[in-house]
Amino acid sequence: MNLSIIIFILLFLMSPTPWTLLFNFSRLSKAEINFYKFNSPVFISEINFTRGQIKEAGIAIYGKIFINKFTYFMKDAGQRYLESFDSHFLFTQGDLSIEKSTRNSGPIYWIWLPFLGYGFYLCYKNRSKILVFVLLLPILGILIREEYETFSRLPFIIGMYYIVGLGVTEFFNKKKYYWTKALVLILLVFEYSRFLHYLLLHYPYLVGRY
Amino acid sequence: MSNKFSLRKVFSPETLFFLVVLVLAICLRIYRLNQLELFGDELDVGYQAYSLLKTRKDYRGNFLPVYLESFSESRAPFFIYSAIPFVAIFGLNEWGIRLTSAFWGILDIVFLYLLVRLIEKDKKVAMWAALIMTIIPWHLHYSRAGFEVTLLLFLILAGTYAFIKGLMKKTIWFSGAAICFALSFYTYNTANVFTSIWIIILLFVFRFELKTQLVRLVPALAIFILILIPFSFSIFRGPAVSRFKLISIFSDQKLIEQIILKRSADPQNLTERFFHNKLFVWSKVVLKNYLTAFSPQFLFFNGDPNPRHTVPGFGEIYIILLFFLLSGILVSLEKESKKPNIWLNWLLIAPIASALTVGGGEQATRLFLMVPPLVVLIAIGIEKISAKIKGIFLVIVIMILTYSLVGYFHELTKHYPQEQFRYWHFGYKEAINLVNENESICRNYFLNNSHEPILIRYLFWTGTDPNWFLNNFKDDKENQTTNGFSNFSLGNVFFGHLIEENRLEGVKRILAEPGNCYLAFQKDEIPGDWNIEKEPIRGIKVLGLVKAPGNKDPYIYLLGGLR
Repeated sequence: MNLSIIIFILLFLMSPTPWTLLFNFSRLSKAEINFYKFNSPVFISEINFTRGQIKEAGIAIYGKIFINKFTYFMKDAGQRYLESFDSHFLFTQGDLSIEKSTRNSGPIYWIWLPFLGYGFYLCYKNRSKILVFVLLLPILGILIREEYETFSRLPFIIGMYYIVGLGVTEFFNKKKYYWTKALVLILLVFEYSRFLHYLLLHYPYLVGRY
Repeated sequence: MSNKFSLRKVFSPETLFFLVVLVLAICLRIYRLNQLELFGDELDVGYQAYSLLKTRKDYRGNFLPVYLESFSESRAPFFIYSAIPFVAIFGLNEWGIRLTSAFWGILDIVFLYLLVRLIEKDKKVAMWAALIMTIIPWHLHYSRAGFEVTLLLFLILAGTYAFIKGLMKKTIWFSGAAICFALSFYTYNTANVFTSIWIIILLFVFRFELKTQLVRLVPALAIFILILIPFSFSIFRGPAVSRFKLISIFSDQKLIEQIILKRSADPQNLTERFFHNKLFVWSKVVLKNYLTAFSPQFLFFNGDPNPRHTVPGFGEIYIILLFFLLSGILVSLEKESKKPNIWLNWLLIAPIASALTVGGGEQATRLFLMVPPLVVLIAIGIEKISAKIKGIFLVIVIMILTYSLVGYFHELTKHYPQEQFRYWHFGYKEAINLVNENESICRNYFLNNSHEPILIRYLFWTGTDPNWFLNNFKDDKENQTTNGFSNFSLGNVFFGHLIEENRLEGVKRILAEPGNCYLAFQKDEIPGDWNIEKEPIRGIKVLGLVKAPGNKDPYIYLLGGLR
């Protein structure tokens, strides 16, 4: 079997997101999905307020052309799309919901960051199609009302694990850097242990399990 | 023989474009510069500059100090010294302080243009970089307020330019670089980390060129060390690091409390010590801060959470430039060169200093050195794409940039001053002017010092003679009580706060004595929304009122007794 697939599966099994979702499976299976509302009252009132301000400045036509549902939605959609690449979401805190993230780490361990960057570089260099998928998948996050939501971003997160796997495989295939490889393995084990320690000892208090 | 200064060269498209950009930069940076009131740090810069101008001492009495002593901390000196000519010409007001930043901001654009031309050897990329830096919110905002970072950026840009010129031309350029880099340490604390790393990077990147000409660096090294000698004394004596100690994550007690809390879950368990310790927590915070500096939320959508550092609702860079930034990064990575890319290295080290401080991931001031590499990478992206898609593309880019700039500038000059005035400590200028205007009525002044430190505001807006201040000022600690008002005094002015809970009664008691005047705040001494100008209080006369911008609600009163 391809080494990168094996590493990808290992990384997936070690990563925080599957464990956290499994830990809260019973609660999450009853959770509702809230879709994004394109006609939300907050949206409309923001547009009207900004248009009013522009009208006072005497350039009402500018308001009508540039301040409308479409431009506001595009800005909001852009923001939600880019949330997927936010370091708070990916590395340090994850989902805002305590049931989908321990809030002590994101879906990706920080130690994977160099391999994520390396994996992206390799995909770009080889013009890999996976890059296109990973860049398109965060669009699903736009459809859900909650910000930094995990479920809608699961395909994207899994895609990121694959790219990390590519970076890790390529790095460990190199014949030199033995001490660096040893250090990376130690740090990876440390990060995984730290996560498990937090999940089993501290996180239950946070979700009120006890 | 060709005429070096031919008209064709002077009025070349490149020169004309650059002049247009420069004029635009100047207009954007000085238009309505006095719209917002000066906040505390700006007032401190101004009064220090004024004191140095008049007495050659800082306002605490230190003669031509290496580090200036303010009421609350020691301040890096170079920006304050550079403000002296502006204060001398324009006076002790918004123009005197903010034109200093605007001046350095404009020079930032000039030297960025020169540096990009030197490194990229591409006039078009340099022109785009100059234009982008002229209009992006990050640089525009900081060029319009009395922050030291525009001067710091100038020194780094000029120093880098001089260093690279030195590799190509005369040795004296290295000395120029040494002067600029050394002076950056006296400008803003970020330089302590950034400049140190940046010098090492420059020496590493150009190590092959320097290998055969190391001896040319000796005079520059001597100058560098000479300039830094006073700085090194300040490090050991404390003033150079006092600010860092206040804001660094290593002094943050909240992190220690977090560790204690986590360990308390199972105090006997050794794994708690292993997983929850200072090393890990500090590493995590530094990494979090570092990565946040690159987050889309900070760069493109929300900016710095402090409304004084960013116009709310706008990021530090226009979102529309994200696409060009990514293109620029990819182009830079693809470039076949034996040398590491200067701009990517600059971008990677710029957030390090800020990452070591509390909240440093979104602190636009401490992250300001990220501006040049971001701008240049955007410029490279625009140029690369416009080389492939000619014609209408340029028009579209200019239209988009114009739309972004108009929207931002309108918000900055029209709505921001009315909505965020509190963050600029609005009201004190008018309030102190009321104090000045009522000198014939008031014998003693009681000024509320519990909101913002009012002493520096009083000194600045009254233009108090620094010599007189040095001779009469004792201490800014509240070491006496007068009529229930805990205070320190300067002449007939008492700075402090009322001790009793019912502050309105305290004000009445003070004003019962003839000749006493009190500077009171709405929602403090004057409870709730009670407008005492319209609904007077017995025994109190409103001598003057400062109203909030926008809704014109009462904000600060100058009150006198009826006798």
